[in-house]
Amino acid sequence: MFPWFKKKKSARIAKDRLQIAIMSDRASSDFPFMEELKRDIIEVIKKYKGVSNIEIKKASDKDTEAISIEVELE
Amino acid sequence: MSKVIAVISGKGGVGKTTTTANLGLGIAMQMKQCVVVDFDIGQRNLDMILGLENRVVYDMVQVMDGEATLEQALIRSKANRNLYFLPASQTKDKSVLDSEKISNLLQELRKKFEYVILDAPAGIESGFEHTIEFADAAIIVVNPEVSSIRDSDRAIGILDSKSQKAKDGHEVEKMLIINRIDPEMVERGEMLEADDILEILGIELLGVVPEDRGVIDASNQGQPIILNEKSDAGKAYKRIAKRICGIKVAVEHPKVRKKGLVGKLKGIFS
Amino acid sequence: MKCRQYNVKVFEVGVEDPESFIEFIEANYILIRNHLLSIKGEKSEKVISYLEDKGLRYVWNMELPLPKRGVEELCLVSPGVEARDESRERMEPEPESVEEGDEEEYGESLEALKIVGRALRSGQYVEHNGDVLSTDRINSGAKIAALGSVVALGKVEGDISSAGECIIITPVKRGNILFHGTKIENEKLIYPLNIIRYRGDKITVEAIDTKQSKRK
Repeated sequence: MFPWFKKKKSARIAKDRLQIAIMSDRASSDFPFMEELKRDIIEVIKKYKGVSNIEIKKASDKDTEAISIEVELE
Repeated sequence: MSKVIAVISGKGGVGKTTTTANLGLGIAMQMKQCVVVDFDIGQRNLDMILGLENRVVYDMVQVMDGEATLEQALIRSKANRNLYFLPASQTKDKSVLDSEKISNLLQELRKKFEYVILDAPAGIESGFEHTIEFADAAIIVVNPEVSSIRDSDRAIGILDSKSQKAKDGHEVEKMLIINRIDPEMVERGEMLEADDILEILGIELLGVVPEDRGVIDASNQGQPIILNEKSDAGKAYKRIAKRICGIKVAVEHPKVRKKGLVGKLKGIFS
Repeated sequence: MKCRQYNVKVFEVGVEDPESFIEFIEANYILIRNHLLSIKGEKSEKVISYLEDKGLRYVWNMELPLPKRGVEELCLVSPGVEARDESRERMEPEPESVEEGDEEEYGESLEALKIVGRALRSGQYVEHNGDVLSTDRINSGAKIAALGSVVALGKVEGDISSAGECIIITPVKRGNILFHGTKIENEKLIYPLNIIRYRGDKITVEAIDTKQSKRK
């Protein structure tokens, strides 16, 4: 009937869907510098002791953004 | 016997993901069990085109790493119960792909589904190579445009040399879909036509999909265009899906629409 | 102590002035990039830094042991500069003759004819130390580089480089055709089947008559 109404509607739908999808992508993604951070930490610790494994996880709650680092020594 | 089909293009943005989604749905509509797999690690797209993004819990990398089972990760389509979907990881990157794990995953999928359609990433690097590695056949999606054709040619060359089938001395079945053809531009000599493209690429034509504004509208809503009875692109995808299932349907080349009086008036006022 | 023995192809070349030398190497790069360059003449910083940049391997004014057979007299020429080997006499063939009078210009050690029987796709590359026959398409982004002649019977949209006796080719709209380092303008390839070759010192494009002709 009024074709432009329908078009506006689907763009609106797209916007809503994208906002949700992107927010959820951002929440689950690692920090962009994760790999470099791991490498740097291994380098530093290697000066004192060998590293056999390293895990970095997000440890944020709703008030603070934090990461937890677990290093397994050789 | 299950068939694993990789959808590739070389160049990005030509309609691989849209084609994968629509063909998956089309095959499901032919009453065949079908799964579409998003191989674009780190750049998840197939979920949005299918309108299933809010149902994603586990992804294919988690399945390959054993963190989740296939049953947990597979998502059933709302539009057709014969269609399932396996999402890509959004956080990992292509370096996590491992041939052995991929082979195992595909074996598992072959047991459950008659058609396994893999949506390859754009480009010709490792992600693409992993997608084609164990494919039985490849659908090459091309736009009637020089850089798309050249990139597809490159991708076909790599397919012929790097896939496992090629290494075993078999030829991978290759089929071409020409996407976004504009019959008016072809008529005016401003766009390459199907024959020109076939001459250069030298592979079988699977089908031709016309340019259709409804495709964006469909993506916005997460309703693949094949569900739109009125859309020319949707009808083309339906025919192609039938052909994949072995039903002989003639290839229709999009024709210039003869404008009626209303059409001509619309043209004047737009 | 680890040691290995293997053969390397040597390209012996004299340098007169740095600029024309660099131009020459640039024009023939694809054909000699895997050779060891044996350079005779005055050393110059300009040339050395160019060679280092390009990753070319070279020795300067070194008498390398020559093999008993397999020294080829090559005629790689840079654009606009003639550097023919005067010690060898060329027999000028009659303009009407179809058969060539010249034989064995390149010595016995050239490798056999390479036949490319399928289409060459973008990114695919054929490099050969002899003549090449291509029977199918050469797509845009594909390349043939031959030390010998190239005969391309299919549609050519890619690049061909030959340092041989001739290039035989159908009309070309898009590709780049290099004969002994000189780019042949596509507009000159007007015949259904063109032969690019030297007539004396000039590069010519002539028609190959595809119909049977009876000589008088």
